[in-house]
Amino acid sequence: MPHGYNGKILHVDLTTGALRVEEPPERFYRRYFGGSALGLYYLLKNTPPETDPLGPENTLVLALSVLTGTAISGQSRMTAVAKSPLTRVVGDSQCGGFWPAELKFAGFDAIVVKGRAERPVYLWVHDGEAELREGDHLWGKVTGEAEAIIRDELGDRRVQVLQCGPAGEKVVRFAALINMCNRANGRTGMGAVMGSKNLRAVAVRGKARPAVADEAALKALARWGADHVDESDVAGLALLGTSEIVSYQNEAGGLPTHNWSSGVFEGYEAISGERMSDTILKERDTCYGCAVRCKRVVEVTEGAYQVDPLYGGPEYETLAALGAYCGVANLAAVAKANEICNAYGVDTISCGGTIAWAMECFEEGMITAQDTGGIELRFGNAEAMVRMTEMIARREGFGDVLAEGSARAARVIGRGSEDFLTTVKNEEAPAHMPQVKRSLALIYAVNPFGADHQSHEHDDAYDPEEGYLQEMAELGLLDPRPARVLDAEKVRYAFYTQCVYGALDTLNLCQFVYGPAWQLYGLDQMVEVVRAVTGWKVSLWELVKAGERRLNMLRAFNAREGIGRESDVLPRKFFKPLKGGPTDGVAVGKTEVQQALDTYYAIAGWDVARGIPTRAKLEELGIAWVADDLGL
Amino acid sequence: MHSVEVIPVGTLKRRLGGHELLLVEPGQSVRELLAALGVRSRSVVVIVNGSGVTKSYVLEAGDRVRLLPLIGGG
Repeated sequence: MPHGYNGKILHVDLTTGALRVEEPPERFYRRYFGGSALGLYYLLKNTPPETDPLGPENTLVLALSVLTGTAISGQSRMTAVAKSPLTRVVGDSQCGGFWPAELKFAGFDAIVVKGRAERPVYLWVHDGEAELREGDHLWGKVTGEAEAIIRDELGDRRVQVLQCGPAGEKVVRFAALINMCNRANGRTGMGAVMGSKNLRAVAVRGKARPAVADEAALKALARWGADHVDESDVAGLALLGTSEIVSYQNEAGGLPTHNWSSGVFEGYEAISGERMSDTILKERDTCYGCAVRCKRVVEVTEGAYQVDPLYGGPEYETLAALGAYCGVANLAAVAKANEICNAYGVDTISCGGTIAWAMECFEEGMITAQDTGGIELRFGNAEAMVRMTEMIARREGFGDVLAEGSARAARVIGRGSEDFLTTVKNEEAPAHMPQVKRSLALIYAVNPFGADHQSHEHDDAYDPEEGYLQEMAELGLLDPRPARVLDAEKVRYAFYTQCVYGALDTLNLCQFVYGPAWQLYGLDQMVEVVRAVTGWKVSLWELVKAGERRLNMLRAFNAREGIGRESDVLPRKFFKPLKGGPTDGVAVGKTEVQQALDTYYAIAGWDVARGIPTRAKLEELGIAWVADDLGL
Repeated sequence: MHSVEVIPVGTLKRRLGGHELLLVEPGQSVRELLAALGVRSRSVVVIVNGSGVTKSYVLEAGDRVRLLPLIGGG
């Protein structure tokens, strides 16, 4: 009997309304484990090249892993994959919360959605069954309202709801999937894909806990984690959330400010974790089974920016993107914009990145008040930032232009505005600066779904003085390098940890709870968790190889679209010197990046000139079918 | 209680000799304390008596200070 997984994949054809259950063999789960890799399996099999991301032929996969729904911290996560309407290549995004565990309890390991419904619908999955239900009455409603309506209709307040919001309905290109009104598959526009299919929500409920091979071992591991949070390197994360790093980033000269023109923000204290804790924080929240409790719940009941606790509180990325990027030193305003993004279903990073780009253009006269409908879109204008967030979410006025993302908007506006972009593959960069942590220059360039900060271990962990050197030694990384160096050893470090993070996103494990450095559980414990749940005698090697497999499947999808090295390009801005603070005058170097790319493709076993996987590498990873698909 | 209790957590405990608890004199700022301990100021979250403080906070007798490392990403 399967341990950890249900052995059931739900296939939904929205065009015909047909639902079908597939029961893959054990070997399928052993090879792909779940999450991103499992999702990519179906994406590659079902979606031909050059598919319109917003058309019925695109496939949206919502994938759990063999660990989801077990009683231990950091496992309740889901990966969404599809062709991205923002990047036009592969899209991939994770979420946490309670929905992932509940889908496992409802009897399925993944949902594969194709086609487009004629009228809005929602999918109801419960206790091994599934049905499509009318969704007209949900269309246009913010996430809080839609969730309440669905729970009421189904007569169960404990139904978990994953949905696109009104922004997804309007196919804002960076629309997110939202669950429990405050958790997001934020990046790459997965919400727009769901909205384009007229699928408004997936409601799940079930009572069947996954079978666990060694209950005692899992319980011991779970207890160890819960007992050690307060002594571990995630103790601060537990208390202050990801917002704990705002002050650090600023002091390091790595808090992107004024559309990445500087790494220091004068107003950083106003949007710091300490300030949030002292003012608007109402309580901490957590995901199913997790002892860390890193989520923020905030409330503002007075003043211009009132915030409903239902929509959660801002994470670091949000504080940076809607705060520092835009020069906004107003915590309530940032929390309000976060609320709007969660209510409408918008990625806070791309939203802030796009608004900040527009602000710089406005400051330089490339966009005027005539374009914006009278809004003074200047750095520091909190009201303009909040207003524009809402206009983007509703595709109103100038928001309709910005809802295309900054890269497309720049092509429309022209006038030299492309010089101010901070995008890779059309996706806005998250708030970790390659000027400070130089391996990000490589990973932002090569990551198949755009600039991503959660795809490898950042440079500080390999710093000669303050790194996690004992942990790095476990991966055979014995030659630490300062953060601003990008040489062959740093590339090696980036590739190895990228494969580890690929394993995390395939096992759908929270990267704050499991990982190769400061995380609560180390990699040996991760192996023990997989063994305890599945009963398989996995090794770390096998799991890291699974991560490498996932990376190659992502890269192969892009290669099928004709995308390779020529798209691994950083924005021009990153090569210009920053202004002020510890990173005054610092820039990424063009030569070091090209050399790093050469080294990286070679290490990865790819064609160096084209930047795509070779047949040999795909065969080595046990996915020769992908090489066949690519015509290699 | 005339001193300040300083409790390094996680990797900081490792770096500060494995001590569970250090006793230091009040009157110095958090920034000064971290410099004296040889810990890079920006890499630490400082919790005094349960609340986050900035590095300019001046330690008082009886304060209970936890020094927490930062996560690497997010």
